[in-house]
Amino acid sequence: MLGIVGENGAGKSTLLKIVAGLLRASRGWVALRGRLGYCPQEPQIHTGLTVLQNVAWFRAAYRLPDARAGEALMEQLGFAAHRHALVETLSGGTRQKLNLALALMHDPEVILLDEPYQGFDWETYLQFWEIADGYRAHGRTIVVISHLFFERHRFDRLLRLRDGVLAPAETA
Amino acid sequence: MIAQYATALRLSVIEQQHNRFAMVLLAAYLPAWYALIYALSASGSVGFKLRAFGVFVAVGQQRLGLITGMLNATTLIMGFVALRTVRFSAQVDRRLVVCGHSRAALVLGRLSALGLAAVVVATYAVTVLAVFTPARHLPVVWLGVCGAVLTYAAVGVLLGVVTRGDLEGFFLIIMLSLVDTFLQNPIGSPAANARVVEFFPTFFPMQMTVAGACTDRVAWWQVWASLGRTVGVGALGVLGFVERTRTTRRLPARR
Repeated sequence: MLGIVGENGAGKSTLLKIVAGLLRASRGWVALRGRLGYCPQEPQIHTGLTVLQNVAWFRAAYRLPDARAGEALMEQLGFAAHRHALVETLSGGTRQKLNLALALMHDPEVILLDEPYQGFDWETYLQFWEIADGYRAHGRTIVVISHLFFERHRFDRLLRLRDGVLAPAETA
Repeated sequence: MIAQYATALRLSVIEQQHNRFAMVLLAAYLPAWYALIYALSASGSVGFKLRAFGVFVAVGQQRLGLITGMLNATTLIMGFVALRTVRFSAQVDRRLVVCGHSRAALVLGRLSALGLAAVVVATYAVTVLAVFTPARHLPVVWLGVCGAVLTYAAVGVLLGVVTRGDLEGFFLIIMLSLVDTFLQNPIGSPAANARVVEFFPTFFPMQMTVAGACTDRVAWWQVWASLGRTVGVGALGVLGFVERTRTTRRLPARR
């Protein structure tokens, strides 16, 4: 469980996009082993479709045989009641839950989370950490970026991004 | 890839069905627009040049007004639908590709859904038109309108890729459609017979639609010419769309 902290505009999201393959690095390369789960900061979901239809489209992308994992995440994150609702009618917090569920439904081995819990209520925030700890317990790699962290003890390592350089947060 | 294409097509169609504004425009604005033109048009005739045959035909002003209004309204609606599809879905489409979705299946699914929408729009517009004015060869009119809306679907895709803001794209479609359709109408445009209109996006569709509505002479090659123009504009848009969904990651082998 790796946390990356940095000020606004430090390049945290850019770093994650490069790792995810959405942006090309001006130099260097990215080595990534295993299935990737990427949760962008702003929910990137189809607002003109329902929750279940979004899950169905990502299920096709991941080539999953069924949507059971997506349904289970909906239950865990507490928005299963909205499964037939159009995304454009959902609150920002519920959209963020769907955004997260779409990144996790294929049981990824490397998980990149960009400010994953913004908009979550306290219950969902705790639920998020429960899910994240479960992935960690199964040997998954999780990278969480945020502009600030309240609970440092949750991370195995905490790095700070400043001037394009990642350094241990404690010594930065 | 076939399963992903089927999913992309099905969900793109559903997404378009949820575009209520376009639905209202089509269902309510189009008949209202026809009714207004029908009520306010003058009763005389005007000469319209069928370029394929080099002849002028006398067309009732009311009928020509209705045809022009139909092409203007349908091209606006279809351009808007295509632009919205590209702009609103650009980021999530890119995310889908990162998640392993085939880019070709995604683009083909999106384009097929736009093609289906174009056929629905053309069919509805021609059906309602037939209530207001009879057409000699309704299938030819339908083909002409299909050509126009498909061309503007391509224009919408292209503008969706090249414009920076949503409003810029919408205004460009509105202005282009107005200039395109109304300058070809000899009722209000002295330039209708000028050579320059041959280069307008709906030139071939307009020629086919008027020929099908008012004469027994149809230049069938104009169907292919119209389609060629659609493919040309659309290819530029699709190239841009493909570029926008490009990712740098090499995906792992399929499980």
